[in-house]
Amino acid sequence: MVVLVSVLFMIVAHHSELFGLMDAGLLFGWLPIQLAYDVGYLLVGVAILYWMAGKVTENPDVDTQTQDASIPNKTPKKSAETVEK
Amino acid sequence: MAPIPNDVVFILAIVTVYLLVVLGVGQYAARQTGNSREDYLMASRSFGTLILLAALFATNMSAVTMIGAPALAYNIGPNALGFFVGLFPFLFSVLMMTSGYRIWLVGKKFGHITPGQVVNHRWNSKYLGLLVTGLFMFWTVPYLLVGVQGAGIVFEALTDGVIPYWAGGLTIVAIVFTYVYSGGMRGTGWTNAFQGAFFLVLLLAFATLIPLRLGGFEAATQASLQVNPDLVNRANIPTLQPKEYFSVGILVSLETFILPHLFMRYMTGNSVRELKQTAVVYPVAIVLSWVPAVLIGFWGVGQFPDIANTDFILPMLINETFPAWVVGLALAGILAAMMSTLDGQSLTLGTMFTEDILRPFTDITERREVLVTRGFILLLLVLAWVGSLLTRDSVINTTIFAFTGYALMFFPIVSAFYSERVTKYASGAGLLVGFFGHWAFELGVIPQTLTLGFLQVIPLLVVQLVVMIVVTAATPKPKEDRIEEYRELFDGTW
Repeated sequence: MVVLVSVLFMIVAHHSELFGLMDAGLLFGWLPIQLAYDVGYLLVGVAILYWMAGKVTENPDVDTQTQDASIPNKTPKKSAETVEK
Repeated sequence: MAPIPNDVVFILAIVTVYLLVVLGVGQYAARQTGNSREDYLMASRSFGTLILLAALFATNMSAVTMIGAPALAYNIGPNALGFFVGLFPFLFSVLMMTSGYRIWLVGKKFGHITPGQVVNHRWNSKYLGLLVTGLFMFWTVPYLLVGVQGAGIVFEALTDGVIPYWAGGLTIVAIVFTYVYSGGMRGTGWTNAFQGAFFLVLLLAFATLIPLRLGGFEAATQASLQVNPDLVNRANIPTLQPKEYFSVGILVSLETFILPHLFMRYMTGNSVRELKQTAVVYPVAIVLSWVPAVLIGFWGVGQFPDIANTDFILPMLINETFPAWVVGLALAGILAAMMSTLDGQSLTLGTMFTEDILRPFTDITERREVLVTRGFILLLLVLAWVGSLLTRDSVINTTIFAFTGYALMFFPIVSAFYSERVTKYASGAGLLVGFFGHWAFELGVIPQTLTLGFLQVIPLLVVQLVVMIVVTAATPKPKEDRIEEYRELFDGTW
């Protein structure tokens, strides 16, 4: 739920016009404010992602040898054959 | 034949050295690459965070960043960043941590290599994967072409035509084929790390040095605003109105996540930790590459107010501003961005061809499979080069056409990881609605007025979802035993 709210917030915040930035002008006499907003917006995104990364749980059951059952209707090949370089 | 100017000889010498270094990195990776199909095609799923980030970032940063972004900024100003990559780095990273994690899990658990294998296994299907592979190939060829097109453009522009467009594209095709042939997935990952770092440093350096050569940051910006003051005013630029702004944000986010060469790379991580760390750092990498690219294009307006093909703005600006040795470095950096995408795309398409088309339907040996993959990669690169000689579209236009095709594959594939009820028929119907709907708009069969001001991808996504829901309701539920396998696997994940 928190992930969904974060995504919706970022989709809305992407629209800088909601913050009155349709005719934004310059910062420091050279940096377009729109560009500064977009960079700030992405850095907020990084903070949210950092928080999310801490919440992702790892599935210990999958940390095993990879199966070779990728094609359900065909018997997997033996992997002993070599590949020409 | 006229003698080649000294400056051009110098530029070509630097580029040659750079290309040899790339081949050396690829060759080194090839020596570490084992003899199995799993190692050649997936690097034994051993990528750490740095290589995975480089593989995902550099593979995704292509002619679009080095040629398309400056050209877009030239046309619509510094808003180009928010417009094209404002939303995508965040949404893409969220998708990487959620759906990307699930893709990694099924790859690790069941040994899948391609998206076609993933959907076939999830839905007990033999032919759905074939449809997925066919559509991915169809949309990747124009995207592949963009890289060759970009290489031709910069070679011609930065060598004053000594290396013509056709020869520039052919050179890059040859280099990419050489290191993909020998190094496979590991070769692309390692060269991506090297090339990604190289073009990132160069972009940052140019974004600092170009304005200094033009009299400072303020002078460079003011020169552009004197030519076109509206560039910092979104209200006066039709492309940047809210509906199109929203459409592009969603389009680029969905298509990037589902790109087949990225899809396969989600499964190359050593553990989910690599995916998480990559997802957090990814937006920073986008800022570091796109801010310089956009500013350079914006500052180009003041220096070249009226150029015929805006795709040439970055090479023209560099050519006019710097001595030959810097131009040589610039050319190498631009080629780095293009090669690091071409390699991933061509390896992925070659892999899908053998894994999804040959392997399930023929009795091909593992040795022959890798040989055929290599042959198919060569064929694809040659086709892309021929296509680049025939196309006249701008890089961004070609890209958006292909991106829409990819974005319309997002829901039919990702629904495999989130819905137990969606059926293979619903997924297939969604894929077909997306494909034919996109073409119907392109060919004018469906009028653009029906998009209500959005890009066509938005109404098509809505229609696609409705069709998938209806078909799901009308077809029998998938088998419980397979659903149970996935339910256990995804337990506790987002």
